[in-house]
Amino acid sequence: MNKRKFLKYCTLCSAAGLVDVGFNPSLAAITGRSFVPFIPEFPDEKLWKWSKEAACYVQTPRGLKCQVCPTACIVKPGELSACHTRLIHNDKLYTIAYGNPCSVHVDPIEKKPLFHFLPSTKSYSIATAGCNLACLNCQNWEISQVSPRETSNKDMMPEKVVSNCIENKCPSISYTYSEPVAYYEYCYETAKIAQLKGIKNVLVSAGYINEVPLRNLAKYIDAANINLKSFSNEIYEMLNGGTLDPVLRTLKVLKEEGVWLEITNLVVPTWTDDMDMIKKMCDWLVQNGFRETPLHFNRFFPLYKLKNLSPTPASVLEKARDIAHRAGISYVYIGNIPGSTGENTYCPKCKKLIIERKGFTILQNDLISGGCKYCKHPVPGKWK
Amino acid sequence: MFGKLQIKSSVHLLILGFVSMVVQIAILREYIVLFSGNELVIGISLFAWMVFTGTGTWIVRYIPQRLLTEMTFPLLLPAMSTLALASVWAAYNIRYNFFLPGRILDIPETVWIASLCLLPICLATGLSFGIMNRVICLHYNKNTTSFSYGIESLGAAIGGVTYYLAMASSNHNITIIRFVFILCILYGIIQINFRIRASILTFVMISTAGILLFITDIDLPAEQQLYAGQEILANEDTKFGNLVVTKSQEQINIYQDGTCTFFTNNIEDNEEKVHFAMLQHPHPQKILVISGGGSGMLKEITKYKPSRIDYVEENKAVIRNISRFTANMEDVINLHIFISDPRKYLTRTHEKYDIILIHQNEPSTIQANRFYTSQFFRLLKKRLNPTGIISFQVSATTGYLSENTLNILSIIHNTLKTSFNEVLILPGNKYNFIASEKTGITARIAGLYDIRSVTNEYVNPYYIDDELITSRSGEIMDAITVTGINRDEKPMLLYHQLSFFLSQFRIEIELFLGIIFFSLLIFIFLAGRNETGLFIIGFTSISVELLALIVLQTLLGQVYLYMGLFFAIYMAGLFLGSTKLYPFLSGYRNKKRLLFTGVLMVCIACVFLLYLGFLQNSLRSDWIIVSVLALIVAAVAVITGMYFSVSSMKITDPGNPFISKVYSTDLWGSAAGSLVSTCLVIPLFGLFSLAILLVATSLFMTIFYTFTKGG
Repeated sequence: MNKRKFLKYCTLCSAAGLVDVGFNPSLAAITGRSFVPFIPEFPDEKLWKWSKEAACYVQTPRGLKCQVCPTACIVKPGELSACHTRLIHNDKLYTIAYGNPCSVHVDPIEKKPLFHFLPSTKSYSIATAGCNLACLNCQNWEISQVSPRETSNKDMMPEKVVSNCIENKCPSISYTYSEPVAYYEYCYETAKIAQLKGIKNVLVSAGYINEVPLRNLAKYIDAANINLKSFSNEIYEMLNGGTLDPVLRTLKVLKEEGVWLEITNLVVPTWTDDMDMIKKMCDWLVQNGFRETPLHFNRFFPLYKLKNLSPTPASVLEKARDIAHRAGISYVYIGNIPGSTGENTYCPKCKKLIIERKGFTILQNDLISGGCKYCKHPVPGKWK
Repeated sequence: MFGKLQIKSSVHLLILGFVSMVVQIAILREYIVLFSGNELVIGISLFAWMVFTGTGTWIVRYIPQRLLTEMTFPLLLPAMSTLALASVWAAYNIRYNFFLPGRILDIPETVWIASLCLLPICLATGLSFGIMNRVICLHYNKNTTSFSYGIESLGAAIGGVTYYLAMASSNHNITIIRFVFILCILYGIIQINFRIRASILTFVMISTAGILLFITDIDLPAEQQLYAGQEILANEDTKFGNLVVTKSQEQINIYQDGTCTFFTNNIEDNEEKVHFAMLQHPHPQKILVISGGGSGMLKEITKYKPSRIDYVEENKAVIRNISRFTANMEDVINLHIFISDPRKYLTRTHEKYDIILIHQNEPSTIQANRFYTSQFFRLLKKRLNPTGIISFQVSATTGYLSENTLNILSIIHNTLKTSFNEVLILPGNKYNFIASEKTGITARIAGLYDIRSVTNEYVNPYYIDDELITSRSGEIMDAITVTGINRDEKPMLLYHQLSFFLSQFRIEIELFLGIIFFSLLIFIFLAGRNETGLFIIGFTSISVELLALIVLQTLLGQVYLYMGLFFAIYMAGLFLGSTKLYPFLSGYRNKKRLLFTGVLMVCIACVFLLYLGFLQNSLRSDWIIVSVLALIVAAVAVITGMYFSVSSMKITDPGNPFISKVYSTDLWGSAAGSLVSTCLVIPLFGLFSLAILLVATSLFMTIFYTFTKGG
């Protein structure tokens, strides 16, 4: 045997040995991690307990097209939709995000944030994995950018969500954390049952949804916080993987459907902190009947893929708030800055402090019958 | 003894070694900032550097012999330094013109940018060595590769020491590259033959390109992109990395290696870091803050009116800049600042503390991981009063426990449990770890707030709901699984942190590691018999060098101080081995077997050293640790140098184009060693396993050369 052959045989033997060791469970014990490559719990085309035929889809010559959101995925067999929750089985479109939330918590309603809706109450909050956007700064990327089969989930069908909510003495259920549009069917069914039981439903969403499914869902939704991420189509495409117009339409539809609405705008340095853009956004809101809709400017923190930025300075949020006030928006708040007076509600008419907030607590409430105690000016909201 | 050409070539080679080492360190440090580097990024950049340099030397075999003249020498160095400037310019411009602002790069992007930008400079470096070497070989009609290798190594040793001792502490990396450019241009002017028009023309072209880059603010447009909308108040390269202070409106931001590590007015973070722990103690008097105090933590601590606050920070530039640009350390009474490695400080101090607050980077590098090990926690416990409490934070999505997050939390929890009776994880904006020997640590923060006389903006009952935080903390504690312990010698947390990092880009760490492993196997499989030995010795020697540096870093925490020294020892060892000591082998028939036996002895010494240092904890003297490690590095370098000479001497025909392949193979082996050791073996299996792997490899090669011909 020459050297070259000797080396070849030894290399092959050691490779074979290492591969064998690599898949041996004893290695998992050594490293604390399994070496078995990721194997889905079921092949893409098969369903599981947490599947349900999708709500809105249509057969096209190119395949089945999902119609829930403007992404309009034509889902290929063996593949998932862009929101990671839909697949094809027996020529039908199914969701795999039904009754399997990965995040379940009880939160103060102010955390959503909703300041004019059932203040100082707790909301039973759920989310499954998946999202139809891909924001570079997503704070929940570990659940939003994966499919439900990659997360560890609870078994909680809609009826169970409602009974748990009642058990936890929460007056509302929030569909939040990831994106309720991605688990539309689960959200819809749960909201329907909750409404029958007298539980309010809260949608915390980016609002990237088509009109028909939104109108269907809105019948059961009592309040919504829509994250209007910017007022530029270009930024929406680059930062979030979406577009602006469908979100603006969502705001209008929710208002028409009588859903209590609050809007959040995350001010991201270099991306969405352009004051001219913020002014345009505020002008649009005023012109389209959202003068009385609470607007929350939130502070950005470097997260996920957008880590090479600084957090938003407090004064930038103050400037944005001033612009919104000058544009004519009555209720403008600042979020993610503890102790800021930007959490308080001031009467737009007499300018007096009517609701003093600190964190998730109301320190002083000078609302009487939904109006300012001092000048009687009505303050919109669902206060009880 | 030396001919005129050989003296001239020696000077060229010496400067080549010097220039290549200095620009390598400077460029890699810039890349760490550019790519917000962790161990993977450093490993990838170093790997690309060595592979491309080796490839540069390898392709010399395809250059026609008539072009290989000494006339090229004065052109090579200016060309190299121009390309070094171009490499940084290109990397910055690609990074900020082709990628979205503020977005971190994923691994494939890092690989292709680093590869694209390093390729020209590395090829030029390799080509320069290969051309110089072959010109000398052809001129003297004998194989002088080992001589060239030795002289180049000596130049690199001088470059390494010069960089760390004279330049790094006071200069900007790009200034260093500019200085090298001037040096190369001046050298080119002195050496060039002005009678040859082609040489002058080429020189002028290279110099013009270089001067254009020289006068361009290479990093300024990029800096403006990186810190868009912010005023840059300070930007300095310290021995711990790049430090930038910016101002955005009223807010001061501190960036370390391109990542914002803290900023002023971060009320939530500062209050969580301080009060989650301090509220647990009825009367905290003596407080120790390990790093990050300047973020505003110190002001929060003063609310408890402690009798003493000790603040340990290893980078004095951080203290200087915080004092200069923020008021975070003003009016903090009873404050004592120590510029020291925290572990060193804990070993030396006799103080006992009521509270120790740690603010360190996430354990995604070996440097940061040493603040999350059982040995570190043991040190902390020794410096705590019986009712003392320690606290630190880890970032992750706090609303959902992913497998990666759970692994990280479990390992830290279980490691803390080796020293502390009680460990509590409190979810806030981050995961807060609180540990103590005393019982009764509680998640009911709001309840504690009510009985302590402090006033907070955020950690108070208005924001913190005891029921909710207790319930979430309970869920996390219930989910904690049985895992291994994170130790200095087996940094398993590093592996999970890297896995967490890769999961952001949907990359399975097993796939990444598998690619490295099988690439390595394929190379060994395809290599010739002469190359295999060289490849493995390159692999082993760089791994021993890295092992020594990591041991040094872990035990003494002074890797930056000693890195230059150890580089110099390594390169000087290569020089001695390849030029002075290899003739001593002339009496032995099986030289390679002998040399691999030597490597085997060195690797066994490594295992023994790790045993004494980590398991027996009996290496207590700094100078003994440094001396033993220096001896190990010197020994492996000398053997590698000798092995290189023995291998290169196999080719007796100086016209043989394969001469340069010897150098390439050694570099490729080193490249593989650096990547496999830092990204695969150490995070996955630990330092002991790496040492044992090296023992096994050298034993295998010893047996191989015993039973086969040609040793």
